[in-house]
Amino acid sequence: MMLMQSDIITVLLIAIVIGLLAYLIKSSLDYSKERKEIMEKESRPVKIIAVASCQQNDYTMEREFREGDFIGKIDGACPKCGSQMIIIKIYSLYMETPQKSFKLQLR
Amino acid sequence: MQVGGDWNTILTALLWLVFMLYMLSDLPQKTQFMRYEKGVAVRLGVLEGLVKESISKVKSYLVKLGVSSVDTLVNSTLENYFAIEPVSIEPTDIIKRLDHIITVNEDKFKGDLRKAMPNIGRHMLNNIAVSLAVTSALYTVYKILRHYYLLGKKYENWILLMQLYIALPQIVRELLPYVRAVETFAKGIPIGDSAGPMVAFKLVGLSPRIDIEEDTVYSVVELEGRKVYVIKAKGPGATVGKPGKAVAKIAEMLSYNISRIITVDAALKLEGEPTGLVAEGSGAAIGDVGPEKIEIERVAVRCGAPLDAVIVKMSNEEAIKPMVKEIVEGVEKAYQMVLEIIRNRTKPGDNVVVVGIGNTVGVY
Repeated sequence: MMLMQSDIITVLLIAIVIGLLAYLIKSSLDYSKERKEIMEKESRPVKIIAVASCQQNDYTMEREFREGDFIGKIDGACPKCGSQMIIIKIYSLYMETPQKSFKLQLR
Repeated sequence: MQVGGDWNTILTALLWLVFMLYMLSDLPQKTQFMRYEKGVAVRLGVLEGLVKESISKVKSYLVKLGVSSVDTLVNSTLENYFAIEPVSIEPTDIIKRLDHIITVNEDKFKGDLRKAMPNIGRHMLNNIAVSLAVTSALYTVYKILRHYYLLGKKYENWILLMQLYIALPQIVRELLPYVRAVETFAKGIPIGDSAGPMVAFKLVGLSPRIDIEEDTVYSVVELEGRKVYVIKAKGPGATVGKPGKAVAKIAEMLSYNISRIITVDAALKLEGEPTGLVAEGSGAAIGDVGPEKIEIERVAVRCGAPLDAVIVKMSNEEAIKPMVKEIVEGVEKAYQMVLEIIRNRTKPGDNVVVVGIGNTVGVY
């Protein structure tokens, strides 16, 4: 009975020591992971969209932002009525990063 | 049996040793100090990388524009142009003194930039000025944090290091958008803070802009019999202008015959609130240190005009990042709200002043 009890205590103590060591290693690895995670989060690709609208409000066009664009810029002529196209909105969109898929493609 | 017994003895002795060290020595504090020190060093390393990235972005942009002696220009901007707050123990004319100090500092900064880049247009110059100011702000925050880190290490002040260790993750995350902001300003992309000027643009369209103050313009539009004076910073360069002084000048021009003043600005949302939420309240919606806000308040009091505030809510990060779609939708709602206020709370023949507060980068 005494022998069994002492074996259980030994196993328990070993488990505690292993657990503490594992926590120590994990917490020190977390520091190096953190930098990577922060950088990845901030470098999510962003697409800037410029929306131009005809002055007569009969045509709207969306395209990617080009350097020199601004809200209120005259951006060519309307293909429908020929009046001026004006950039009315510029906004950003997060681009979806393609996820790796391991699913089988069945045809 | 013998093996199990030996292990048991060793582990028990080991645990006793650990227990004694923990209870009777300063080892736990030393270990904790090392952990804090390492954690702070890693996060400061991240911040240092961000500052360097931001500096190199500004430098490469200036090189692209053909500016000579880029290193000298950037380095002098990072270290110089600090402003010392006026004496506050004697509050008489403190706003005037504060305004004077801010104006002198801004003029000096822009004057030096103009000297370094004589052939660059006003809007581009404003974009560069703001990009440099953002980099300088990042560098200053980094320097302050590094100062406390080194101080904590030098004097083994673990409380100081613990505070840094706790606060740094939040600080780093809040500073990250500033790095991207450098590029945003340099390219002239509207940011979240441009919500106010965007509402102003929606009201006036391409109507002529009349200069009224430094980097500030106004346009006059007729809305169902009311004369609406719309004030905003002069775009599309990155500037906030001087909207308070512009309101004061318009009021003087109209002999203080103003029925209503409406200010539209971006405002910080609370965690949990959706981005682009539009709210209406009273007062001057403007986030400056004082001189511009007080001008609007004084004019409103002198004219006896109600002062409405329309705000578009966003996070601190979103305010300096390229404008997101939710804010664009918020701008539309704020524009409709301003129209409603004018239609329902003023009479035909009234003079109404609408001020689009915020950075007008990328907005004409």
